[in-house]
Amino acid sequence: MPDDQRSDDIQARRQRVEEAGEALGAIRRGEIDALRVRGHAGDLVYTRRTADKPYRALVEQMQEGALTLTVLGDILYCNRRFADLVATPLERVIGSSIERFIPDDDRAAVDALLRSGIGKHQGYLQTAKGTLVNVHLSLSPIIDDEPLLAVVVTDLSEQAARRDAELAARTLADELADRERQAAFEVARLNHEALERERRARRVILDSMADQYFAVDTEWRYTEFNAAAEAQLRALGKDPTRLIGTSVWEEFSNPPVEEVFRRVAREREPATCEYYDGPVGEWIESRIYPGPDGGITIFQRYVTRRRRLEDELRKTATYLADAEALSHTGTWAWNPTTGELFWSAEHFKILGMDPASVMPTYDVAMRSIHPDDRPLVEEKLTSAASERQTYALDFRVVRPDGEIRHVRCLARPVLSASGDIAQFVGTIIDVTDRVRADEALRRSQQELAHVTRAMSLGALTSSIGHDLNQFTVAIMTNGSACLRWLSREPPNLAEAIGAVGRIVRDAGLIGDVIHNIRAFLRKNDGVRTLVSLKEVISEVRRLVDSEAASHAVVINEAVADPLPAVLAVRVELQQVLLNLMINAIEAMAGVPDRPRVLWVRAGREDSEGGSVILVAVEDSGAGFVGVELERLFDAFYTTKPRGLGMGLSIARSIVESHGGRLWATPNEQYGVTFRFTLPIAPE
Amino acid sequence: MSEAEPVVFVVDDNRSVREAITSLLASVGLQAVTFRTAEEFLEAPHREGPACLVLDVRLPGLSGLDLQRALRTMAEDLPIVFITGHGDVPMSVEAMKGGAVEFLLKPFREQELLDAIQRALERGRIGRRSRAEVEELRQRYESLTPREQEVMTYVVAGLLNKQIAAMLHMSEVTVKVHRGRVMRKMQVASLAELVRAADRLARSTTGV
Repeated sequence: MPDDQRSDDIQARRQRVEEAGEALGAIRRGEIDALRVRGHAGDLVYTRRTADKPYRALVEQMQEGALTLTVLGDILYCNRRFADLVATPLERVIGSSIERFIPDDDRAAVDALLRSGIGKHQGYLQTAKGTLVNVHLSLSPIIDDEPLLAVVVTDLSEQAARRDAELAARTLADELADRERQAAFEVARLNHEALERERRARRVILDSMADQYFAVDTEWRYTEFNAAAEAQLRALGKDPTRLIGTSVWEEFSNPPVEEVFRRVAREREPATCEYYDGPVGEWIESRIYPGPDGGITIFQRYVTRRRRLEDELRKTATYLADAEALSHTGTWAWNPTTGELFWSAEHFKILGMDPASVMPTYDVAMRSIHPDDRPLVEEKLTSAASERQTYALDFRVVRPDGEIRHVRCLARPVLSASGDIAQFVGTIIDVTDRVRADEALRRSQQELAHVTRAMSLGALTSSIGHDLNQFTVAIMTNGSACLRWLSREPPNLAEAIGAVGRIVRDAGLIGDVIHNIRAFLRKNDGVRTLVSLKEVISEVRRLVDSEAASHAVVINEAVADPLPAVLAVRVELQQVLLNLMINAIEAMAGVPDRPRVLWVRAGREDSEGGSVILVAVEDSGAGFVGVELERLFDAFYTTKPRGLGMGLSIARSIVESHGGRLWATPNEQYGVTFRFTLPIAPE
Repeated sequence: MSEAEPVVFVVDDNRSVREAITSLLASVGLQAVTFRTAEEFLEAPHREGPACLVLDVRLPGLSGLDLQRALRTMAEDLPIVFITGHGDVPMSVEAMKGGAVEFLLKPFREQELLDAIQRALERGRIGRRSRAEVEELRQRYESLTPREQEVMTYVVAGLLNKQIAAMLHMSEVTVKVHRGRVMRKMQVASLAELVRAADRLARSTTGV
């Protein structure tokens, strides 16, 4: 082997020895938990049994030294603190025997300790420097595969030094505390008066309270009462001074209340409760706070009266709300001086507003009113304010969603002692449904009246047709005559002109008939105008004259002149008269043996009740034969084979809607007279 | 034989209609006399001569049909033209049975009315002529002696002279003499003419 090669080999071996030494050190320092060794028997894995890092971390950080020994005293492990204590590098400590660090004087005791496996010893350790360290050894066995011993080493010299320092520090602290106590005493003395003042002030406040105040300690004993509480206890026949220190549960024996007390004491959160105290006979409102010293304080007051008022108020409010809802009536109050405006729940509802989101003001109220009605309402408010009178007013409101409601408002000013208007109070009633029903009723009445008008005219169809036919015949015949006069040689112009003149005249008469019918059948616009009954009578006569003639009925007329006008719907009056006259004509159709005479009379009738126009239609017919008089004006009552039975019913409702009356009476001799009155139109 | 100018009576309650018909008739040279009601017509002084009646069925008071019946009762032979605005079949049947010439529905064409009036006047004229001829025959018949009337009855009945002589207990010659007088007085040239004259006389007396 050449030298170079030999020196390389030596170098490699040296390096391997170093590496092995490093690995051994690492193992000894506890840095390696497992080691794999390659050999002729294959790989061998050596694992540290104490591979328990958290445990070791704790041991590493201990202020005491810690060792693991075999029963023979070989050191398998030590922490850094022990290594420092014996001033020997850690890796040298591990693997050596404990005896190395035990001075001769202590060796026998330590050996005995090692043998017994458990126990304590106070003695010395010998450091590498040769110095001795006073320590306390504590030895205990570790149960493992093989018996091991755990040793904790406490450095007593260091502990003693610390104790000295602590003693000195304690002396200083005592002095400081003394000074502080003195200062505190001074402060306390200075504060005492303030505290006393505060205590007295607190007492005054407590005693001036209407609420009863009880302070209770953690053992549920009274500690303090205020004057109100004392008065109450006395009223119950108890001596408050004697109650201090006694249990609260005699006075507060109500289980739910007790539960609240205990909860406040437990959770340290204030609570309130209201309950009926049977023995006292009162409703009590109680507020319970956690006391400053762990107990509780109780503030309580009698609320029976308040509760009764509240109950009554609630009942009244409920009744009012019910009444309001049932009657669709809202109430309001308005103070014109402050502008304060109150609306009841139903008032909000009528306006379609939410009480939670709308604050009623004069402007809000005004805006809710239909723009067309606003001037009316404002005017009424103004006049009501000056006249100081109750007023009623119908107007429309527009809900936020645009729906229009009809309301009736009743209000009155409330006067103050000085006679000024303190406020307006009033109601609004939602009358929309009624208004709509009225409108619908009026419309259907009008339509029905129109139909019956058309039907009564239908009764005249034949006579009207006859009239039109007559004029047609006359016109055709005149036309032919005219042609013949013209075609003569020489033409007779005078006769031709006469014929054409008659044609023009007769065509005009046809136009009149058609006009009359149209006027009669015109849709009722419901507009009342000043109407002359004389005109109405002659208009109706134009319709019925031909019919009368065909039944050989003579119509006589007696109309006072002058006759005051009436305020009426013209076509409605025409309808009434036409109906009565057709009835009269038909009533006489079967009369063979006496003159068929129809009288129409109109005049002014003055009586104590006032003046009216009286119209009478009198016939000389069969009279009320087979007629149920009391049903005469009922709807659908008829004695005619083709009658609808609406004529008289509608006639009466028309007359009544004009403020008049319609009735029938049998004549002395024969026939019937129908009469109706109408109010005279104001000048 | 020339007749007087005919007159057309018009009864209608509508003045315009009366005036129009009057003018129309005037334009064809006919005279119209108008009345508003049947009563007025009946109260008017009776008038002889050619005439007809234009009558509205529907009238205040007595109706047109009432008037027709009244005239028949009074044996007035006045041809009637009915005009009506609302005639129905039963009404027109009744009117025609009552001898109406025409039943016109208003409105009618003027020519229909004029034609109807012409027919009515014509019927009146024929009636009057027929009545005059029968009257003539009757006067001739009444100029016969009772014996001659007896002989005429048998002759018209178709008996031979010999049979008549036997029934009347006279000679055949005497029958021949009576027969010759009957032919002369009745102003007929043949037996056939005599039979026709006897027939018309017989029908006028029975009213058929």
